[in-house]
Parts: sequence; C-alpha cells; structure tokens
Amino acid sequence: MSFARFLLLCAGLCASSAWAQLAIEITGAGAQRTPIAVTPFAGESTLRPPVSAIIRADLERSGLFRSLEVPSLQPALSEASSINYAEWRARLADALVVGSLVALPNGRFETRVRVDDVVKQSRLGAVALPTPKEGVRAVGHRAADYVYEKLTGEKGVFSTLIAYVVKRGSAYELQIADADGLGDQTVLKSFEPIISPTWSPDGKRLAYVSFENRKPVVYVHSIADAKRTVAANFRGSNSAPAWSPDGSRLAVTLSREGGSQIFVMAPNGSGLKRLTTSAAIDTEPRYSPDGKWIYFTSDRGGTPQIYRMNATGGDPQRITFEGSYNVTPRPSPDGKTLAYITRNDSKFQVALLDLANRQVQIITDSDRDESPSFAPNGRMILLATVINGRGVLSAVSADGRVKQRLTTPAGDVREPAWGPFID
Amino acid sequence: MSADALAFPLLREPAMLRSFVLAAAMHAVLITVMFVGVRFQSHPPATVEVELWDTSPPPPPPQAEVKPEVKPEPPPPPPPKVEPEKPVAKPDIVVQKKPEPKPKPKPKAKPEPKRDRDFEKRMREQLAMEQKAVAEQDSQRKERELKALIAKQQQAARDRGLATWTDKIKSKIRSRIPVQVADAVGGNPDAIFSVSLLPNGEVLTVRMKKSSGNKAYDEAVERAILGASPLPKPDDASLFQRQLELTFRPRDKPGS
Amino acid sequence: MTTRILPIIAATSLVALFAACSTTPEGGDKPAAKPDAAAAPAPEATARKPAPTVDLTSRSRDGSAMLKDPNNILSKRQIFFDFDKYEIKPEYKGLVEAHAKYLRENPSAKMLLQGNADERGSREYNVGLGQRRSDTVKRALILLGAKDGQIESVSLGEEKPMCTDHAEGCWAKNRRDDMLYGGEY
Repeated sequence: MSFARFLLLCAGLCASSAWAQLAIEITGAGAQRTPIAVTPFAGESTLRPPVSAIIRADLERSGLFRSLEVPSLQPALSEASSINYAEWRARLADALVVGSLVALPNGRFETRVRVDDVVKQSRLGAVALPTPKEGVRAVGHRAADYVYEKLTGEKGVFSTLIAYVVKRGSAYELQIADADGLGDQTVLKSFEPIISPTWSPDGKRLAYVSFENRKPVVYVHSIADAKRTVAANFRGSNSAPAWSPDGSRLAVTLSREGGSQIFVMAPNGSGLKRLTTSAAIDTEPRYSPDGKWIYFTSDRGGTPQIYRMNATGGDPQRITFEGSYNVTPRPSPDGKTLAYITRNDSKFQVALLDLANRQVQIITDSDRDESPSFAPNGRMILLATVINGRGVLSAVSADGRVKQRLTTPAGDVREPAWGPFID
Repeated sequence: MSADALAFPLLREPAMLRSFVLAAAMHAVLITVMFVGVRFQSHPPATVEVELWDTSPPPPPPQAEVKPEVKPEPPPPPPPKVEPEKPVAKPDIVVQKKPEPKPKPKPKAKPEPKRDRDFEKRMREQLAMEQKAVAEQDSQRKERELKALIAKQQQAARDRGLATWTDKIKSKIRSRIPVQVADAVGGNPDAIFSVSLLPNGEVLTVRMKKSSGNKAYDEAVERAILGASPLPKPDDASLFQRQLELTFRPRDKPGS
Repeated sequence: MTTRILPIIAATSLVALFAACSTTPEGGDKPAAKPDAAAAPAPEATARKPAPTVDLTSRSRDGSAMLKDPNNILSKRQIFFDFDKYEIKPEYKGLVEAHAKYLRENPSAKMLLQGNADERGSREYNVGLGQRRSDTVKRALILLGAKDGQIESVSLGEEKPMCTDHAEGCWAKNRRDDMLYGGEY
C-alpha cells in the first residue's frame, strides 16, 4: 500500500464510524410482566398490615408485574432517599417503588409513595395519602392504583369492589368485598336464593333477584343504609336487572305478559315499557357503555344466541354465530369487545367477541363458567367457575394470558359482579 | 574519590541539535511503526480450512470450521499440484505425437535415425515447454479458484456470524417489549430508532427517527432498548458495529 | 251442571226474598257450591227463621284434605319434562286434568306454578326455561276450565333443585313444574 493511500485511510477511519450502520428489524413483543421492586416502606410496621405488602400483592395480581424479592434494607429506603439506579438495574428491576408511613403531629398518619423508572433512571412521580389507622388496606390499594397508573398509563382497579353470592348450607348471603376478595361484608342474608346482583353506575346501589317470595322479584338495595325497595314484583317472574349507564333506568325480564320478555322501567318500577315482542325467551339484557344498545340472550332462532337492539326497542340483530349455545352478553367498558358464555363441546366457557372484526376467542379452558364481569378498566374479567365441586371466583386477563383464583370465603360462591370506579 | 568522577561526561554539543535529532528519530520510528502496523492489518489473516479437491460449493459447515486460522498453505499447494498433473498431460501429448513420427521414418532410410533423434529431442523440449505452460496456467487457474472459494466461504462465515449476532440483539430487545402494549397498537406500523453502542456493547444513545404513531409503543420500545443494555457482542469481534438502525413493528408479519 | 244450578237459584232467590223482609241481613247471599242450602219458605214477617249456613269451612277442609290425601291424584304436584322440552308428556295428562277440575270447582282456590330447569347453562336463561314450563301447564289448566286469575306461573330456574348430582339422573328430576296451592306458600 502506498503512503498516500495510507494517509487517505487515516482520514477515512475518522469519519467512517458515523456512516456505517447495521440495520435490524424487530417484530412482535416478548415481555409478559414488568419486573418491579417494591421495598418495605420506612415506618410501615407502625400500622397493620404493612402497606408495601398490599402494593406488592396488588401489582402482582394485575398480571402485568412480577414482584422481585427485595432484601431487607437497613435503614429502609423512603421517598426521600437518593436512588442508586445501577444497583437496581443489577437486581434486574425495571421499576422501583419506595415510600414511608409517617406519623403527623395531629395524631394522624400519612403514606408517602414514590415510583421510579429504573431503566430510564428517572423519577416518575410521588404522592402523599392521608391514612386513617383502620384504613391501611384502602390506602395500600390507592397507592397501588397510583403506581399502576404511572407505569401503564391506565387507571388501576385495586380500590374497586366486587359483589357476589355465597351459599352456605341452606343460607344465602349477598356480599361485597375489595377487588382482591378480602374485607367482605354481608349486604343481604336469606334462606332463599339470590341471583344476578348488579351495581348501579355510581356504585351506591345493587339491584338483584331474590326468591324470598317463592318467586323471583327484583330489588334495589342501597348499600350504605341497607334500605331496599321492590323494583319489580309483577305477576309471574321478575329477573335479570341491568342498569342503564346513566343510572336512570333498569332493563328487566318479566313474564307478566306471557313468556320471558325484556322491559325497561325506572328503578322504582314506574314507567314500564316493553322492548321485545317474541314468542321466545328474551332475557339477560345489558346496556352498551354508550347507552345506545341493549345486548340480550334470545332463543328466537331455535337455540340461545346473543342479539342486539336499540335501547329504545326495535328490530334486534343477531350477534353470535359460532356454536349452538351463547348466553350472558357482557360488553367491555370501552364497548369494543363482548364477553359471553359459550357452550363448547359440552363445556361452558368464557368467549370474547371483537365487535369490529367479529373474531371470537375462547379465553378459559374450564368447565362450568358463569357470569363474566369486566373490571372497569377492561383489563380483567371476573367469573364464577367450579373447582372440585365447589363454586369459586376466578379472574382472567382480557387477553386470556393471565388466570388467577380469588380469595373467597368458604362456601359455594357464585354470581360475581365487578363494581365501578369510585371517585 | 569525588562524585564527579562517577558521573557521566557532560555533553559539549549544543543541546538543541541533539534533542532535535532524537525527536526526529522518535517521530520516524513512530510513523514507521504505524505505517507497517496498518499495512500489516490491512491483510487480515483470516483463512478457512477447505478440502483441496472439492471444487463444488461445500454444504454449511459446523461452527468449528468458521474459526479463521493463519495457514502458510497458499504458496505451497501450486507446486505439488503441478507434479501430479504432469503424468496426466504427458500421455495425451505423447499419444498424439506418436502416430505422427511413425509415417515419417517410412519413406526415408539412413539419414532418418539421425534426424529423428534431433527431431525427437526438439519435440521433447517443445513438449516440455508446452506442458510447463499448461501446468502453469492450470496452477494459476487453480490458485484463483481456490482463492475465490476461500473468499466465498469467509464471506458466508461472516454472514452467518452477523446473522447470529443480530438474532441475539433482536431476541434481547424483543423480550423487553410488553405484549400488552404491542397488542394495543392498531395495525402494524413501524418505529425506527438509531442506536449507538460503546465498544463493550453498552447503549450510548437512543434516538427515535420515526414514530409508530402510538406513543405508548414508542416509549415501550425505547425502554426496551435501554433495558437491554449492554447488548450482546458477536463471536467474531470484527463483525461488531457501533451504529445500529432498528426498525420495530408490534406484530410479526404474516408468513414470518 | 244444570241440575245443580236450578235448585241453587231457587233457594237463593227465596232466601233473598225473605232476607229483604227481615231487619237483620242474612249472610247467605253467596251461591253455595253444594245444594245444601235448605231454604224453608216461611213468609212470616216477624218470626226470624234460622238462616241456612253455607258452610265453606267444612268444604275447604275437605278440599285441602283432598289435596294432601296420598291416595288422591291431587296430592301429586310435579310434572317432569324431557331435556330442552316443555311439552307436557302424555303420562301427566290425567294429573293436569284433575288439577284443572279442582280449580274449576273451587274458584277461590289459588295455585302457584313453579317451573324449574336443570343446572346446565346460565342461571337467567334457566329462569326463562322454567317459566316456559310453568306457562305451558298454566295454559293447559286454563284450557281445561281454570281461570287465569287463579294461577300464577313463575320460575325458580335452577335455584331450587331436588338433587345436586351433576348427572342426567338428577337433572331429569330438576326439569319439572311444582304446583302449590294457596296456604302452602
């Protein structure tokens, strides 16, 4: 090589690193759960239970996070600590939650929570939550909601409630509990069956069907003061209540005019109007989230299928076409998906119908699933199923990837309903 | 004894000239070293073991064969090859030549043996020259073919090494993109990122050149790249590149 | 039917006639089911004859006794259905006819028809299936002379099964209508 060429090469080498680029194409995704470290909060042992434990369990249960084992650090980290991001990267954490439980001068407490993005090495946010002594659980759930929202951009559902019916021996109880199944309270106790509990949009009332009069009657029950009123006790059967999104109406199934037909009325029973007119069984009405449609089950075509009609009545259109038994329509909170129960080879399973492209996906592989209920952020579906002969509640993520059992009281649990966001 | 007697004699020449000469000499040495070093480097001694007799394209060999080895083989092969060729070429020419001399001796009598010997000697010399020429052509051709074959195999090995390395990068980054975020993207738009690496594979900078249109996906991709740092390095260090252009799509393409 | 009505009308009108003459009203205006009302025509204005008593209490005791008498078909209150069907099977025809007759003859009797379904499928759809079964039996009873106002057809869906095994033997028992008479619920 000549010297001239050598000089040229030297000059070239200086500039070449900016020009040569390796092009790579990456498709798809592979991360199921984001690894997150939630350290014990400074001072949290003052109140029970430790708030970091609630946050950890909530995030893990959402199916989007994997909680990492965190060593007990002395002194405990708090929201005021300076974070060594490299150390947490080495522990393979993508996100970090630290905080403290602080006793305020006036005898009250405050929980401070901070969440950091370890990969980008930046603080995402911090919040201070007033904490009553007996309310640590609720604060833990609110903190988990905060962390969840910072990391996913979605609203968390850890502070929401669920309702369900428990049968123990010959007694039936309608209960409400936290979304994690703990903290249950009994709303109604009876020696006769209770079915179809459904939350009012403001989360303050439950409509349900009680058989205490030897026939099905629809009640509306105010949770705070335990006052209930009869919404529908017409001649024949009264069942399948469903609230309109603005809470002003209840759709119900009545047999007062022969057969099982869908009516709509005010929650106090006034203003009754019939919506369906068929000789078939039309039941299980459910409003779409925008209030324009009512989905329902009908066997007018010979076998039970799901139909949709205008919320004011009108010609129904058939929605389900795969399989010979499709019941219990439950639209997702964003209105884009319909969950329902389908009989698949003699097994009753949860199916999801994409209302845009009409694709169906069966997301459970169990046997006797019932009563699917969307979380208000649309990400999880609560359902009743039977395991080892006992009715239990389970939850499955809306994409079918994550399944989990809920902690529910002893007895036969059924008819779950996920409550709305509580502001 | 005084300390002065043990000291080195002081230089009487002007310090400037001496130091200039020394400096110049050091510069010369440095430049020469650089010159020779770069020249030496411009012929990377990466060779591959090949079956000398196999002229058809070889099947993809196992990894071991990819390792480049410095072998002094190229020069020796041509001469030994010429030897075996000789007996092959020789009989052809000899056979061809044989029938020709035969008719010639028939019409002539006494002067023929003498002329035959000269003729035959000339023919043998000519034959030897032709054989040598052919053998040289052959050996040159063989050498060229061998070189081309080696170059092709080297390139194939580098391609494989590159593919393995890009696969490792793809896999590591992909495993950090949340499936929920990817699923929520409508359609299959692409996002393009320009990434620069440190020599140890650590991500130095990440810059988005084109957005997918979905902010959550863009952010998730950026976090996935940063989180995958340090990126894996190739087995063959010469394949390493510090500038990457990564194109992301939330879904695998149909048929892929 | 005609042989019974005539004496009743005759007796009633006579009683009414005499009731109008007296100052104390009689409590025997209602047409009696049985022609027991012996009306002795006594056209005296001042003497008050004992008014005949229409004893319904003995009648109803007899009636409910019939309903509970195990030898009486009326004590049988259940009609069973085939899977996915709500037609009344021929073997229950006699039962339906007997109950229709009772209702006809006891217009004040009230019946609650509770339809049931086996456990398979959604609870609310099963309320609908049970309703279909009870509606069918009610229609049959009305066709045979019972009054619409006497019968309320409701559904218990799958909520009150007779047995809880998850097999056809049990499911068959739960696909049924139960008939309850007033006082029993």
